[in-house]
Order: sequence, then structure tokens, then C-alpha cells
Amino acid sequence: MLLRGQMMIPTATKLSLIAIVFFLIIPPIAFITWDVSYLGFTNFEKLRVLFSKPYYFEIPFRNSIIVCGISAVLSTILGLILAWLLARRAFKREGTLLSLLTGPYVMPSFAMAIGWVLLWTKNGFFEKLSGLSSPINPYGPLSMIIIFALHNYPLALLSIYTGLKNLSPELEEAARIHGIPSRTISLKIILPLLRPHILSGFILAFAYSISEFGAPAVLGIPVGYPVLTTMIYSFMTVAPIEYELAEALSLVLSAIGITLLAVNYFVLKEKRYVAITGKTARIEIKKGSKLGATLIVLILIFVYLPIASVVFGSFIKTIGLPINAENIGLYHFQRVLNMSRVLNALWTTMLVSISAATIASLLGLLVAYTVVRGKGLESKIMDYVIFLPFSIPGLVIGVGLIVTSGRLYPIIYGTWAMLLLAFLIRFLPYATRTIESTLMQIDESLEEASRIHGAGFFKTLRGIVIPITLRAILSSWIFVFNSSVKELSASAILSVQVETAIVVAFMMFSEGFFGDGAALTTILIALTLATTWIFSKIAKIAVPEIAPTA
Amino acid sequence: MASKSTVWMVIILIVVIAGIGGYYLYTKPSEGGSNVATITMSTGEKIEIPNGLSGNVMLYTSIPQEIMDGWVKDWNTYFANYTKLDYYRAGSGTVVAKILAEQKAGNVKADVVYLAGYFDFKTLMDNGLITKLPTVPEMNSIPDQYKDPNGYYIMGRLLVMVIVYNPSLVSNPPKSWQDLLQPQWKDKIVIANPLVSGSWQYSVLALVSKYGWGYFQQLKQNNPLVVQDVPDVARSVATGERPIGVTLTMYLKTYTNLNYTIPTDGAIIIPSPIGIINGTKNYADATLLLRYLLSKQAAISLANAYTYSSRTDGPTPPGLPPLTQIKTFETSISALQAYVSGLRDNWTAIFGG
Repeated sequence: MLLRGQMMIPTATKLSLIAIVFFLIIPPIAFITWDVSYLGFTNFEKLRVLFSKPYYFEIPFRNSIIVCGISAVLSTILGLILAWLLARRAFKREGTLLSLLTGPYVMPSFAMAIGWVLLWTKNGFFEKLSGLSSPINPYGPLSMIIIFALHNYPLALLSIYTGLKNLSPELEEAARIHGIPSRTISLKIILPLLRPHILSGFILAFAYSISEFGAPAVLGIPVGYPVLTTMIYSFMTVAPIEYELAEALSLVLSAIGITLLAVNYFVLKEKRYVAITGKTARIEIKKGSKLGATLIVLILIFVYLPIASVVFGSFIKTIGLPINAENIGLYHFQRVLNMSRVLNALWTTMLVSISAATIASLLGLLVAYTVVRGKGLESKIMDYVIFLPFSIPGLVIGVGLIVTSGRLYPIIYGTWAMLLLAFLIRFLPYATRTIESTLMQIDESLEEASRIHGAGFFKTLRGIVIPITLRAILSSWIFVFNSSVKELSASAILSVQVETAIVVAFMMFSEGFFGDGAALTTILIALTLATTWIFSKIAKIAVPEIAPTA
Repeated sequence: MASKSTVWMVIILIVVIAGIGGYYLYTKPSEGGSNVATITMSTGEKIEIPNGLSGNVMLYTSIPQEIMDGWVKDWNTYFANYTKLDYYRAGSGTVVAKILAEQKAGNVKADVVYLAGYFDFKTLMDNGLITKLPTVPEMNSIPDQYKDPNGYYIMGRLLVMVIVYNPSLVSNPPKSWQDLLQPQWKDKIVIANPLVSGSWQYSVLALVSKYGWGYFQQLKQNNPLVVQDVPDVARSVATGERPIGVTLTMYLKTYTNLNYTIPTDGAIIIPSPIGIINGTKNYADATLLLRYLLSKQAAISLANAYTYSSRTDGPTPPGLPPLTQIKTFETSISALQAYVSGLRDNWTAIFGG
């Protein structure tokens, strides 16, 4: 006789899974923690230095919380409005619109920041092309908030959009039958039901921006506005190097990530709802209004401006010279594509990102399954362990990996497998969480039925679990792929000979070859979009149906 | 069904093991370097191939890609048959962070390091990571001021920090470092961040050692834009974001509309140190690489990228004056030493971070 929840996962699978996950994630984090606590024991004074000067910890911490908090709220509001417009108002080409609106997420945020500066700065593209003086100061916290919000709102949009599309319609229908006005239905019924998705979007946007280095470095440093990540980089890479202080700050970031996760857990636990039902939705879809359409167009323009300015910059031969026919062309594209290094880097990027995405989704599925269906303590611990690196900056993960891999798995050192490991550690939490949240909404009865009819674990997985969670699996694939292509800070310290394209582009920017860097970034964006598109065609799903969740 | 998945697992396992094995075989060091040979390079310089080569050498460096490309090309022409050159390239600070992490792992992969400035290099020395250099003939062409008296490093490249301006926006540019403090340049200057940029850090320390932190307190009154690194300064001036900046001559190559002045109190010369990692298994290979890096042949690539070699006979970059004609800001590494530890605090106190 089988009992609920006691079935399915074979012990061997579970054990090996736990081993993999722990072996993958624990060592680098343990090293960081050890370093900091060792310092605490041996040289407490030094650790206290961190809190002795406001601009070591207090100011960067405050700045991080303010900028990331406000931008995450903006991301969520923007995501909610857009998701609502798209899901509940009939606009032509809903799919295309959603693809366009989620586009910014595939752009590297440091490139977006550079584009933003080029656009609005004195004598920038705006002033040159319009003849007016720029209305926006491209540097400072306000610009950081805007760029973070523009870069991260797609996370909230996709999360909320998926929620709206999957919402069980019974409550809404019942309310409508009872003549309750649609405004009240929206506020009192739909919004509360969407709460987990809204929170999810907020947490993703917040966690992503707080561990981000590129954009704050470009927009904050010029006006003396440090955040935690820029401080960590300064401690770690500028003489006099303060390694352990950088690690201590990283643990603060990790703690912030874990706290967010705990909050998310608490809210999700409290509000469980069944999303997958066999009933067809009869939701009232109103015609799209002029106001809504204008809003979407305005947002699209604003969102694509910074990236457009990088793409525009890639066509200018010598930046600084007047923009005329002689100074515009494919010069930088030709240059870049003739470098064997660039082609190698593009190949490495594709190889590593596709591998990372595939392994993360499969591993994510197994972990999510173990966590959701397994009732033991070890599943719970595994769930938290996976999330330890959630908001630790890439540079710190990279350093942790170098130290631990030198001792544990020296054979992969300096190979692309090292990059793969870094990407898995950084993005497995996102993949796992996406699949977990879908799995949680599915009743165990289907799997039980399969099991009762004699199917083994892997057959049940293939026949029942994978088809049901397919959308979530594909969604994490796309998410991990996009994030890996853009990953800069861990890649920069890990790549020896095998470089990824974004590292090459970043080095071009940082060595003054602006046009080359812009051209390579443009190529990379095109490649990411093409891969996502091809993948969605192969998987026979529309891109917009792919949504990550936290 | 379970047996089928077992079969799959076994297949995957075999593939993984085969892959790892194949990788090992593929990267097994070659057996080069037993017969003594002398290589003559296009400059006429001769380098003897030393005995005891392992066949591999790893360079960790912050040298720009353009120069590195030239060196790799040379290496493949002259030395690749004897030893294989690999390199890791990143900003100086990232290179140091990586080596320190490798030291913690007990496995430093680098054999030779070539960094932008002295202070990052010093971090490596302080951690016992650098060994004494061998004496090689190429050192005779380099003035003593660019050699460590204790023999741990030698300066190979010289970066030159000057004042640049956008001639379409400024007709009468500042003539000296002191000129930058004049109120007429308020809101017109762009500088880098010494907590990001190694070469600018060196320059800030040089200015402070002569004029004190008061210099930057006064400069702050002119509200300069503090971008990340020196190439960002060049871009900012070239696009006219700010018409005046402080950056390296090397960026005059990419940003052709820039003009420069050598300050009357002297351009700041930033020497870039080369060293060999303590305990390297490839010391002979590292020696060969060191000889090449100090050669006139290698200096050609430096000049092509608008930087100078420390050699007395190093070629002059096209369009720039010979090094002997550039007035040099008076400073020395020992004079700067005293100000390093206070840099982060003082800079942050003035500019905020």
C-alpha cells in the first residue's frame, strides 16, 4: 500500500542529487564564510573597520536598498500595468507586443547604462540630433533607478502575465454573475489572487539589481554614489586589496537574498491556489483603449532608447566626429567579425550558455521535484542551500570557485567547464524556483495514478511531470540561457583562453574601443534573440509564454 | 525501464570519462627544447633558446588586446615550436584578485605577470608570489631607474598621462596640472576613478605626493566628472561631454579628434612591471618570455598602440614625441608608497566613492 508523498523518488537518485547540489554550491560559499569568520576570530579589529566608516558599509548598503527597492517597485508596477493591458485588453498582435516588451531583459545592463549616458549626456546623441539641451542628467541614483527598472520589469511582467493567463476563472465568473462591477472584481478578486506572482516579480527584480555591478559602476561612480557591489569590487580589485572585507559584504548580500526568499515562502504558503484546472476560461476581454495603446508605445520607445543608442553607436566609425554619411557604416562590424578571438568567444558563449541552460533546467526539475514532493528535512535544506548564491555578485562566486576548484576539481580549471559551473551556481536558484512554483500547483494524484499502474520513477517523470511542467522547464531554459550570455563578472575572472563574448565586448569598452564593443554587443543581442526565437519554434511555444518566477 | 535509464547513465559516464581522458592527452606538455637553438627576430636581435624548457608558459597581464595580439603573432613566428604561450588578460585588479585566489587554492597558474602599475604588483610581492628575475642581456638596454634594486621586477612599458582636450570646444587648454584648478574650467573637466583605474591611481598618488590632498580638494571645487577608467575619459572628451580630461596618450589612437598638452610641470610616467611567479615549474620558459617582452621586437607592438617601451632604443609611437622630449613629472615609487594606504579614505572623503 502506497502512502501519499512517500513514493516516487528512488533513494539513489535523491542521494546523488543531494551530492551534486551540495558539491556544486557549498564549497565556494563555505570558503567565503570561512574566510570572513577566520578574519573575525584572528583580526576582529579589521572586520570592525567595515562598520567604522560610513562609506565602507552604511552608505553603500543604504544606497543599494534605496535604489534597488525603488526600482523593483517601479519594475513591478510597470510589469503589472503592462501584463494587465496585454492579458485583459484585446490588442492586435499580443504575442509580438509581449516579445517586444520583454526584450530589454536580454540586453546586458552595463551596455544599457552606457547607451543611457551616450544618449542624454552633454553633446550626446539627443543633443546632437535634436539641437536641444538634454533634459536628463544621465548619472546618479535617479538614472540607476530608471535603468534597473527598465531592465528588470520584464521579469515582473512575465511573472504576472503568466499568473493572469493561468488564473482560474471561477471566482471571477461567480462575481460577475452576481453583478459586481469589474473594477471591484479586479481589486478585490484578481489582484489578491495575483499576489504570489507580483511578489515573485518584485523579488526577482530586486535580487537581480542588488547583485548587479555594471550599471551602478557606469552610472553611480561618476557622481560618488557607491552601492554594495561597487564597494565589493573596489575592495577586491584595488590596492590596497581588502579581500575579506569584500567577502563580508558579499555575505550581507547573500543574507538579503535569503531573507527575500523566506518572505516569498511565507506569503506563498499562506496563499496557495490551484491554477491548473481543466475548465475553459470565460474571462471578459475588453477592447484595447487609445490610452492603453499610447502607454504601451511610450514605454516601448523609452525602453528601447538606451539600447538603440548603443546599436546606433556601433555604426559610427569614430565617435566624437560629426555624424554624417562618411562616419557611418559597418566598419566596426567588419573589424569585429574578422577577429578570430571574437568568433571563438561567440562559439564559447553559445556552447556554455546552451549547456548551462540545459543542465540547469534538468537539474532544476529534479531538485524542484525532490523539494516539492519529498517531505524530509534534507529537501528543505537543499532548497535553502541552492539559494545561498542567489544574490552574491559574480566576482565573488568566481573567486570562491577558483579557490575551491583548485583543491576539489583541478582538472576543469581554466576550461569552459569552469564557466559552466559558475553559471549553474548563479542561475540554478532561478531555474529551480520557476519549476517549483509550477509543481506546487499540481496535485500529486496524477503521479500516484501513474505509479499505481506500475510506472517507475523516470517513466512517471517523463510521462507525467515533464509534460505538465514543460512550460516552466522551457521558461527556465530561456532564462538561464539569456542570463548566461550576459554574465560578466564571474566570467571575467574565470576565463583563461576560453573567453565569452560579453567579456571581450566589455574589455573593448574598457580599453577605449567603443565602436567595436558596441558592435559586438549588438551582435550578441541579435544572437540571443535569434536563439530564443529558434528555441521557441522548436519547442512550439510562443516566446511570451515563457516566464520565470521566483 | 529502469535498466534502460541505467544504460543511458553508463553511456553518459563513459562519454564524460573519455572526454576528460582525451583532454588530458591533448594538453599533455610537448617535449620541446632539448636542442640549443638561436632565434633571430626581425629587429636583428638574437635570443638563445634556454635549456630545460617544459613547453608551456602562462602570462597573466593587463596589457591591451592590440599589443597582446602583436606579441602572440611574434611568439608564434619565433618561439611557438619551443614553448606554447597562453595568456589571461583582464584589468590589473582582476588579474591580482585571480592570482590571490589561485594562491589560496595552492595552485598559481601564472608563470609571468605583466601589470599596468606598480602597486598592484606590490600586492603580489607582499604575498610572497614573486621570485627574483634572471639576469638577461635585454636588461642592458633598460635604464636602472626602471629596475628593482632587489631584482624582483623590471619595468617594460611606460604609460604617459597627459591633459587632453577637444579642440572644437577649447582653444586655449590648461597648460599644467595646477591650471586645472582654475575656476574657468568649472564643469569642464573629466577624470577617472583611482579606485577603479590603476594608471590613474598611480597619477593621483604622484600629484598628492607633490601637491598634497589639497590639490584634489581644490579640483573638487571645479566639479569634475569622475568616470570609471582612463579610456572613458578619452571618450567623454572626444564626444564633448566634458571638453578637458586627464588620460593616457594611448587613447589618442582611437579618438582621433583629441588633442593633448604635456603639462609644464611634467607628464606623469607610469611604468608597468614584469615579474616571474615564485615556485613556477616553467622557469626556463618564463625566462624566454621575459627576454622577448624586454626586446626591441616586443617594443614595436607597444609603439603601435601609442605606448612607450622602457628601452633606451625603443621605437617612438607614430604622431607622438620621443620620450626624451617629454618633460617628466618628478616622482618615484618610494615617494608614492606613503600615500597608498590612505588613498581609499581620502578619495572617498573628497569625491564620495
